[in-house]
Amino acid sequence: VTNDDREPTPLGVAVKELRLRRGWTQAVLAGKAGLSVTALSNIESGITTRVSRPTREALANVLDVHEGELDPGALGDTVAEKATSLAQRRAVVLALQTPADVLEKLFAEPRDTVTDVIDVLRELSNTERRLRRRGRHSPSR
Amino acid sequence: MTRCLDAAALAAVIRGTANKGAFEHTVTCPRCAHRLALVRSILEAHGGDTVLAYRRVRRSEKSLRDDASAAIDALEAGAYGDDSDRLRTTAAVEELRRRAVAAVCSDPNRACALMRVAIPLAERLHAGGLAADTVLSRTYNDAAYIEKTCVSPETGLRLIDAARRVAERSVDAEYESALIDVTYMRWLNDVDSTLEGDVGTIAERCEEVFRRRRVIRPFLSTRLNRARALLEGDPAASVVLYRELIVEAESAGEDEYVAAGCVALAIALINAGRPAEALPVAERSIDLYRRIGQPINAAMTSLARAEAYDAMGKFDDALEAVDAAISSFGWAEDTYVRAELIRARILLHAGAAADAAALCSAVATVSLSLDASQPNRNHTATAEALACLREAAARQV
Repeated sequence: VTNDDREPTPLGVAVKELRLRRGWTQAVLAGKAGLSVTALSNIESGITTRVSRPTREALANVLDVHEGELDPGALGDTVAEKATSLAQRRAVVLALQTPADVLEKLFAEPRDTVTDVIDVLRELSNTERRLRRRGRHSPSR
Repeated sequence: MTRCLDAAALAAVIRGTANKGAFEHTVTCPRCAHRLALVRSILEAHGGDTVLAYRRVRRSEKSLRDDASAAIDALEAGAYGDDSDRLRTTAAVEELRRRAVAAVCSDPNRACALMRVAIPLAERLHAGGLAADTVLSRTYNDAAYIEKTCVSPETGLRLIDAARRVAERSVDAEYESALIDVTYMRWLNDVDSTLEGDVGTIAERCEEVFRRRRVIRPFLSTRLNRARALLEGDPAASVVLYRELIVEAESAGEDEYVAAGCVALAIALINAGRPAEALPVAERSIDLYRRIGQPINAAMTSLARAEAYDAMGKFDDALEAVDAAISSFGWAEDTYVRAELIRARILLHAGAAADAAALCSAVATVSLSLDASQPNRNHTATAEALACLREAAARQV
């Protein structure tokens, strides 16, 4: 399916960004993924809007990412398949709901501060896990 | 004020199981209060689920670092052309700074180029509220060090001033200002410097700040500066301080500082007229630098080894050491001048006055051209080359 307005799709943007990060030309990535340069160019620029599953898989494979990272649709399918328990769905929802500005604020800090914060969270997390394990193993009365 | 809290103690404060002293510290110490506030806001955003919060933050942090590293690899490979807009995180600023500082000795042009990307990026992020004051002040501070070492000490000083202005507004101004003082002491320790300031007093204040916050690397850098200040006037006291620093670095497991302490101690011992003692110390530094993967510093330490041999009258060994160092790298021009000057002095001491004169003449020419292209460069190397040339010429007569 083609798009005459040529608005880049999320998949096209992701493919282009990952390709440039690796320092590859379109010809290099197209060769690795078994596509023509024109086909890849159309995907990146948004001319092609719907990409077949084999092509998506080939690109994800060559770029060494999960298919869901390239395509929001595939990400939704993956979450639906994996988040079978209530706890898993809750974790996904929390991750989506966490205000971005909290992490943004943390990652505006220099690395030593971020590392210190992660160390404190690790301490708290380890204690929590120990408590959960103890709770699970304590004999019922 | 008591010492800063470690991760376990801060976690205990959040769980409410810490002792009274720890609770009081988080009220009086801006650094710990800031870390505590950050942890609390993250926990709150994750509904108090510490396991989830820890996993999420750790993964996000790793992903940011990896992305920044890959983006800068691509930038350096020219894949982006001049499009540095793709770099948009503090992780990228820090990676640029890290690479720039590491390239100072081996590739000054690269160091300067990386900082030219880092400074506007840090300024842009800071203006948009995406980088803390600390990130910007540390970027200016590293840029000052690079500018002083590679280009112009005076421009470096202006960057120090810019760093101070931002650091004064930061959450932990005392600590950030001390980090800048560590860089500033390089100017005060410079033989050509006309700046006035007591390194001993500044170093003492910085050591206290770093000790209280339990941060070892800036503490050791301060100790190096303090000992360096005594190198010319009181080499014996300098030797004592360097030995103390090596012990402290060993006990902290900081091999890089052990190596830096050893090469500095070797130079102090040579200055104190004890070159035979300097030799094994320099060799230890070379071994350590090789082991931790810093061959450029190992090669630079070979210069100290050559000077030790020279002072012992072992001229063949001295020439071998200096030649091995010179041939092992494409040096920055300033370092090249220094290395060739050491070689010229060895030739002079070995009685090869004609060779020494020819080399001094070549070194002086390079050094004078550097002086002309960099008006603020220190002129010590040129002066030393000309003095060596005069001495070599006199001996030829």
